[in-house]
Amino acid sequence: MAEKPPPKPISPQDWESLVEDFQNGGFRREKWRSLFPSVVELALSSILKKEFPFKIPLVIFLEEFSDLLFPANSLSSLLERLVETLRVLVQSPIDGIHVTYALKEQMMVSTTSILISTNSVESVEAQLTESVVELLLAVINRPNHGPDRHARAIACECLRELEKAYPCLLSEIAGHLWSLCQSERTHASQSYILLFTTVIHSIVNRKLNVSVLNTSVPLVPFNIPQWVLGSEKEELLELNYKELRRAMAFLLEWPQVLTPCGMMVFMGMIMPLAVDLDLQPSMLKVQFFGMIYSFNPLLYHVVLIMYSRFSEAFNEQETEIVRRLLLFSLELQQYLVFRLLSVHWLMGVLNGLMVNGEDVEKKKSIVEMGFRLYPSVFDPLSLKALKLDLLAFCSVCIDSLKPQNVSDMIVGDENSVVKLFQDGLVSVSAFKWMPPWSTETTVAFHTFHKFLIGASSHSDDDPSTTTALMESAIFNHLKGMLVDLILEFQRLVPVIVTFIDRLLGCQKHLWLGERLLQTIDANLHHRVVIDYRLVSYFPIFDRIAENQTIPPRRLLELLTKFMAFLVEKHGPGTGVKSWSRGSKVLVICRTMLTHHQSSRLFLGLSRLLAFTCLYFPDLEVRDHARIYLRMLICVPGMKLRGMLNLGEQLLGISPSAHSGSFFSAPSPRHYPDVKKSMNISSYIHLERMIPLLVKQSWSLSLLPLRVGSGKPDFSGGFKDTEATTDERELDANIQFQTISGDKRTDKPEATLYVMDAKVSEILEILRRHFSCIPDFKHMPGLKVKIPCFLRFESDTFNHVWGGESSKNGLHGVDALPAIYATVLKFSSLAQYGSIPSCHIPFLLGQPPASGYLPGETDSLDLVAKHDDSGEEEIYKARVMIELEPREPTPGVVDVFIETNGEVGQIITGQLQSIMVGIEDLFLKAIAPPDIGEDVLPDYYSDLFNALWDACGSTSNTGRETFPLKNGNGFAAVNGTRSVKLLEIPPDSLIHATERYLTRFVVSVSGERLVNVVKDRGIIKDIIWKDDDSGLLIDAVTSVTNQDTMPLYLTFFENEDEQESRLNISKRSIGCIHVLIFLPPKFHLLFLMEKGQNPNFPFTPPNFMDDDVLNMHNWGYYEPSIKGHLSLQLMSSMVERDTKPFIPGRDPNLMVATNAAFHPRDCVVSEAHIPTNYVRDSWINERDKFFSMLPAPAPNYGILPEASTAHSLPSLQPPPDSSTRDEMVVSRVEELPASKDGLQPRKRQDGAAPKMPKAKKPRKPKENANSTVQRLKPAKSIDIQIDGFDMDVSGIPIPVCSCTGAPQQCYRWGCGGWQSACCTTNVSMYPLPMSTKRRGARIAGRKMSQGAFKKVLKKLAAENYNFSNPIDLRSYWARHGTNKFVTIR
Amino acid sequence: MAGDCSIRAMWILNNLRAVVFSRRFPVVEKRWRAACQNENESSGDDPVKDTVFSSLPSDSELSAAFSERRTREGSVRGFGIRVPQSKEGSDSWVDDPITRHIVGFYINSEEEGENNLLWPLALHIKGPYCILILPSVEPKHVKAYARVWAFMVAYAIGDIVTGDVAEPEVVVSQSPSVGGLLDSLTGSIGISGISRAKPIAAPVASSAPSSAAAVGTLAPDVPKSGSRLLDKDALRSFISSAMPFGTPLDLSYSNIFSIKANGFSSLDIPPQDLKQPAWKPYLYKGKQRLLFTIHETLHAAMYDRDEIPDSLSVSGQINCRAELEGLPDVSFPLTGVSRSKIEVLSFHPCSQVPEQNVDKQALMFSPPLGNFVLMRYQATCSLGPPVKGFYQLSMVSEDEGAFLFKLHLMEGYKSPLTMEFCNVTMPFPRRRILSLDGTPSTGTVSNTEHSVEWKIITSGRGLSGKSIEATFPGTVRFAPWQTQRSTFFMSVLEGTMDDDSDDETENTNNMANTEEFLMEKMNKDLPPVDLEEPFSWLAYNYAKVSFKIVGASLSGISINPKSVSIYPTVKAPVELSSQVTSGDYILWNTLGKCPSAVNASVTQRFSNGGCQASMDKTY
Repeated sequence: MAEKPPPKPISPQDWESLVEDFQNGGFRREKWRSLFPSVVELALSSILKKEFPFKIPLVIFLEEFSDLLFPANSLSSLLERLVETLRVLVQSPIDGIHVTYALKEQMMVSTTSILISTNSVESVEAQLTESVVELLLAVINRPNHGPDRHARAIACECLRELEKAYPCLLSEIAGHLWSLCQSERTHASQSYILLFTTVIHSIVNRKLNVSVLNTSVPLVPFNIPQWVLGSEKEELLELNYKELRRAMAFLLEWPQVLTPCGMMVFMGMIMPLAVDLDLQPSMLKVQFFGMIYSFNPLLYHVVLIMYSRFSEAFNEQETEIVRRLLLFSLELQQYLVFRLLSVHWLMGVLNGLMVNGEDVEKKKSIVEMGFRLYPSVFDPLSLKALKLDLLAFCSVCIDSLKPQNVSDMIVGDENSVVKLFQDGLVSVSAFKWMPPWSTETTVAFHTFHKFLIGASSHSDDDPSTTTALMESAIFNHLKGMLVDLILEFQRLVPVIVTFIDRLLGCQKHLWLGERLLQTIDANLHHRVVIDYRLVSYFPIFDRIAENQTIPPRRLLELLTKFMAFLVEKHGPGTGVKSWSRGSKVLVICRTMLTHHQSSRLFLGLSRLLAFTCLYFPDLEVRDHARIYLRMLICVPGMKLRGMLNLGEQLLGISPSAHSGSFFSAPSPRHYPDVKKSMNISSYIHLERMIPLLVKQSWSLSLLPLRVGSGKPDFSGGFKDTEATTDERELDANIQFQTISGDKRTDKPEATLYVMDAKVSEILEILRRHFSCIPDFKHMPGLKVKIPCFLRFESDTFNHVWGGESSKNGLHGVDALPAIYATVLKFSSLAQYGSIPSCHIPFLLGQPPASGYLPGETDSLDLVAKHDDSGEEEIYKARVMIELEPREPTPGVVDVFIETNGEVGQIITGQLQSIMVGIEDLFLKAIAPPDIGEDVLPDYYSDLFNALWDACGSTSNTGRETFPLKNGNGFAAVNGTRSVKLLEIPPDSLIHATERYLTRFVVSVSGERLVNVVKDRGIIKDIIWKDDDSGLLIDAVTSVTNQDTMPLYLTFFENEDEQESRLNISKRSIGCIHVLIFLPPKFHLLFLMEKGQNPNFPFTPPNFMDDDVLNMHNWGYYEPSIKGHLSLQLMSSMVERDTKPFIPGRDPNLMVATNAAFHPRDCVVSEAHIPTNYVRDSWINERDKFFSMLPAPAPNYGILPEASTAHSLPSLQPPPDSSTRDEMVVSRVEELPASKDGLQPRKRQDGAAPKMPKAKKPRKPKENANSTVQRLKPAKSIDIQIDGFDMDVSGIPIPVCSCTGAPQQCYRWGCGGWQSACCTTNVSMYPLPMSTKRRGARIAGRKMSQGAFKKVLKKLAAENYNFSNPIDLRSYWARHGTNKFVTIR
Repeated sequence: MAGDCSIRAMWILNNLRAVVFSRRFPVVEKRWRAACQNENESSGDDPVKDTVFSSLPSDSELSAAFSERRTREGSVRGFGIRVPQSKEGSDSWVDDPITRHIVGFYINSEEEGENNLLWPLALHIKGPYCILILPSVEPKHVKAYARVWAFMVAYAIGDIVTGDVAEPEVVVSQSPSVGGLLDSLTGSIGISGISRAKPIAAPVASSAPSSAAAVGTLAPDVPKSGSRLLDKDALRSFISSAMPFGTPLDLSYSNIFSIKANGFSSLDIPPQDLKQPAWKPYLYKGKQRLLFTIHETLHAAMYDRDEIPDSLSVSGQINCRAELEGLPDVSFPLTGVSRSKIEVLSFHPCSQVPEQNVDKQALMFSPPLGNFVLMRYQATCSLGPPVKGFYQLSMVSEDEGAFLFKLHLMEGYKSPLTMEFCNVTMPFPRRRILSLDGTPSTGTVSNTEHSVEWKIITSGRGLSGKSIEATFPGTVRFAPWQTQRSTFFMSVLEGTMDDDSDDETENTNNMANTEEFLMEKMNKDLPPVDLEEPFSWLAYNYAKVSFKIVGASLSGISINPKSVSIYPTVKAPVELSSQVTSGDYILWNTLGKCPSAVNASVTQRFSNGGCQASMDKTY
């Protein structure tokens, strides 16, 4: 009362709003809080007012919020007020207006309720409760009194409620209650009966020894018995059975008096009583079982409760109960919810039966009743769903009964479960053609699920075996059905996916979903039609791709075919389509990458991706495919998955290691850590793939490069600082001169020079040669590539950068650290031009030397690393340093690295420099493009001779200048010669030559030498001069001595060729001519003559232009074989540009593959360069990337098509290893075809990339057909009859003459016809009457296009004149599509 | 506690989702809390116990929870079975259609600050009102439910029913009855109002249980208060009598209403030697007579196809009004029971279980006051279908359909069977009719925007003793089809609809004929139906027949007035009438798709078996 923000409620309206606020709760209730204690008093006084219309709601209000309104501190006084009010009301006479029975009744009810909820007996004076009870007893103690009978009934209820709250409260006066109960005959008797039953119930429950017949205790005044107050515990534990049974007998006499609700309450008490008093349950059954025939669900329910309590007593009636429940669900008049419940109850009963019962036969017969509950047409869908559930449930029950009793199952055998399922499903068969969101569909799939999971429930201890379920007919049927559904109704795919997701989402049924996916995977692929609509299956494919239990091979094949289809179908109108389909395919690829071991995918996926990035018309798709392909190839599985992870948690991968994953937002930026980057070169290594032959120390003296600097000075000292062997072969002194064209062009001498025929021939050759040499000052010069490896050591790296992944308990490759997006930048003091930087997307650290078991590497995700060196390569990234030398000098290339660690640290630093040796600069002389391959050796030989001559006789050619390619530059020849005698056996020279210089050898002369060299077969495709060269060979002696005798080489006076040959003929076994081109435009010529004289010198004549460049000690070859390394050099030289592809593993595969890929590269790269510069920097790496396709295996799938793919984009299946060799052969042979690959490059120039048309063998008429159709797409129907096209649109409209007069027909459908005259009434030649339906005719007044075609065919065969209308009278179809149509 | 069937609280919400009435029962609540406490103590430190919402929500909380559930479940009723939109933990996740009737709310209580599950709530929708009943069930069931929930395993109801063998009734026992109660309650006091919009005119209230009102000749003595407003006082007084403490005692509204309205006078003398049943508070006084009406509703799906048999079923009931003094017993034999292949017989609680004989089903009952349904049955039609024939609709073009009716009426029906009227309606709820062309052989034709109605027999000129044949060929022209994408498609199906319309190009040239093409087109925006519907009416072409036949029952069941006996014997005239109305009497378009179900043979076998089983029993 202290505050009064809300005024005290006085008027009924005030009270009404107060009540509303209370019911509403929240702050609206809170605002009344200050009034709380007084609200009750106010309300009570209002209730007692004469004129107050809001009394009853107010009373109810007090009751509803009694816990709030009657606080403990003022409870006593408030309750006293309340009871007083009640007393006043009850005792005041009824006036019909202000004091009504309704008010009295409500007051009694509410007071009782408040007393109970405030626990008045214990919280306040018990006397208060006593007085209320007294008051109520006084009310009920007038049995059969007329007007207040309902108030008496309510008073009974109040007493019953009190008795329930304080058990045995009324037990002492039970006798009185019984007699009241007996005498009451009005409708209130139900309440009396219930009150008495309640009292008996609590007596029995508390086991009180009270006489229920005894009426010695007076009804009023009422005293609360001691046992209620709790001071004394039950002193007597013996029930007075006799009396109680009598009371029960009395009670059971009157069930028909009770309302259904009353019956429910009554039975709720009677049943425990019957148990406690040891009554026969059958007694109850006899008395109450009839209620099952009532249509009141409550009474049903009572019987069911009874059944569940005393199921053994109902042994005989189980069938009846089940039958009644079944029938109940059929009752159309019932509310739907009750029909649903009855099915639920039925399932509960059946389940109980299955668990408890023992008689199998009986169980079976009962369960079979359940099978009869098919849904009917007009059943609501929810009921249909439940009935189908029941069918599923019953089939499970029968199944579980089966092992015990296999014989004579009517419904229980496997096939009929399927039948059951099919029949049941008919009721929702509309799910097939309705939209996927229709309720029918939902119900159908609900049922699928129920049938599918069948017996296996979700409880953990369910032992149902998966195998049994898997072999069950229903499972097999469902599998097949789902596959059929997918194929037939594509719109259902999302629903099926949801369905499978649901199974997958449940731990218990995961395997079911997987099995379904497997089935789909196995069956779908060969049945599905590859067209644009394939995309609707993609959700399924996505699930299949996600699932690790399904080998991805089939899916990949299908997707590859689909891609091929897209490429083939691509046209001007399909741009967006191709893009969307293509990207969707790639999404699936990504899913695969994230969920499968890459090794499983590798073969198929790399084919698919390679195909895509080569041929797919859409740029973005190509790009993505390329990215995926790169990732697939160079990133091992776990890391790859981490990178592709879009943020979802993947199974089995701890996300922490890849927090900075590929797509997610960058983690807080890491700045380069200078300290950590200091010693970077100690664990990150960039190494030459082919070590330099010569260990060298440099003393390079660069003479000033100057035009016309006068005499070449090559007298610089040769310092043999590291002469490791005495078999030094040669040294070289090379002088170069570049002649700037503008300074030399005006030289008059050139034209005045007198030449003989030979000189002019030489000049011719040289001009031609020099015109092929690019002038690096004006155009890109020649490039020299130095292959290198980048690798780093894991443990050191981890130590420095704290690699987290090693701590995550990952194994194998996944434990290794990785660096991402590495950029290598090169710089050099030597004249190498600008060296492009290298990009390496991903590199794995080298595992520590120890503790890496081969077994582990087997499980690497990268496949096709079968040999040792292969395993190494995943830890090495190939780097190609491209130099564009301005002068042929060895040098040092400095390397800077910039890369990212696992968690985004930026690592920068300088690595160890790369040495560039002179041999890196060795190139083969450039052949003019018009020289055929077959005459190339001749050309080289001629070139050698010409250069040799030009060097030797500078007087002849010295002043001649030769224009360089494409530029204004000129070159003049200026060479020097020197002779060196090598004291080594000729054999080792040949070896060394073969090993290191094979590809530079232009000719070998001398029969013996030729024989030797030819036999070895390493040097080939050169000019062999054995007889006509004129070298005379002392065959007899040399053969025997050759191996032992030291080789001697002779200086060859080439201006006097013939003579010197003669001179040396007796001693030499032959010459080897070697021509080496050194970019930018220098040459190194060797003429190695091998003689028998050990002292015979070999002179490598070197020549070059003026402008002196002295290189001292550029190196010594070490002919002594150093095994592996030199071998590599050798092979590299051999292969560099001879055959584009060499089978087998080879470190220089790169070169070869490059060549092979070249034509396709241009398709890919040129298209995207203009748009995506950022990506380019990475994507251009593709060349290397392809080259890294490890081992031949994956390549073969692609490469054969690579050369021919432009003509046929469909892919062949990859050969397995057994056929690999043949493939190689074939591809090498096919290579010339790849020149065709240049074509697309030209085409690519156009804006829209076009794919070459497939050259599939196609019948010309089909082609014609298709073009025609394009011209007239919709209306005209062209029909092909016996290979001959017929434009149906040209022929007149057919007629039907059944009426006697020809009547034109209507069009029907697409190309079909329907009769306009054939009705039952009109037609003179009507079709026969239907036997099935009176008054109707048999079907058939239409024909489809197909039928019409047949007619045409037939008529054409009869040489019908199609300019006359066809009479269709006798041709109408007999199919059942139309029974009867009239059209007027 | 186990036998307790009480209600903790109830709420009535209007269509604005505001609580318009609420009632809580503190006594029940107190018991519930005690039970919760027991449960919690017995189960020790069960982590789930927190999820049992121990206190009742206020109206505003409930209203919020209601709205939240509506959003979560898609509609007031919810999806019922699991759909892609279902969220874990929601009712539809349970995947049981019953969840459209027994729902759970998450109460976001201000005090407790967390989501609490309030379950189970019986949901009943009547007119614009949603009635929610919170019955008191044992806490352990709520817990079991919650646990099932927590395990993501979906079948709560199923598990309770199947797993709790001892008490299969738990959830379901109480609440629906109250739902039913309120239905009759609200229905009779006039809350009902709007009937659900159906694609066609809803069938004549065949399933309405208070069929007394449908018996034409008898004036129902249930008073109708015409007020459309929620009569709170009436509700309150009903509750205080029917379930003063939350435990229902008598749900007969008419009884309670008369008691409340009339009270009792000293003239209402109880019977001398018998107890007056609680369901009959007053005894009749006046002229005595006994009225019976056999009311049957005929449901038919006429296919006119070889592969699908027509299905015809009769659901009937015998309504009775016994104006007899005292508490007499009435008994009579039912004739025609075996001939008419009665499938279901169920009776008013006041009747004694009948003895079952071959063709004599004796029935004894002690009639309550007023009109009541004495028994119900399902049967097959002993006569042929009263309207026989076929309906064909063929779309000549996209917007024009040629149709033909050929019907036989009352074939084989003899006097006194009289067909009072017969209408055939062709509904086209999704197309707008532009014009109708055609003349029937008999009757008149009219059309509205979305339907064509053919009145074959107009009321006043009944057809009796002869059969007629009626044909109606015609053409109906529609306005061009327009794609009607309702908001439903925009919102709910956004995810499932494919973004790029893949099949547009393929469709046009692949479709074999106009009808298929049109159907494909129209199906694209077919909304899903409620689970209460038998199928998607909108997807089919059909004609609905409505008629009324008086004179006899179609099932063949009947009562011989002469053999009705009353004990203690009084002289009272017995009047008998019967009428047959059409329920879902559908003629499916013979040329289109139609829903069907396999059931005929099975139920046939079943009914025989059922009869056999019941014959074995003796009482």
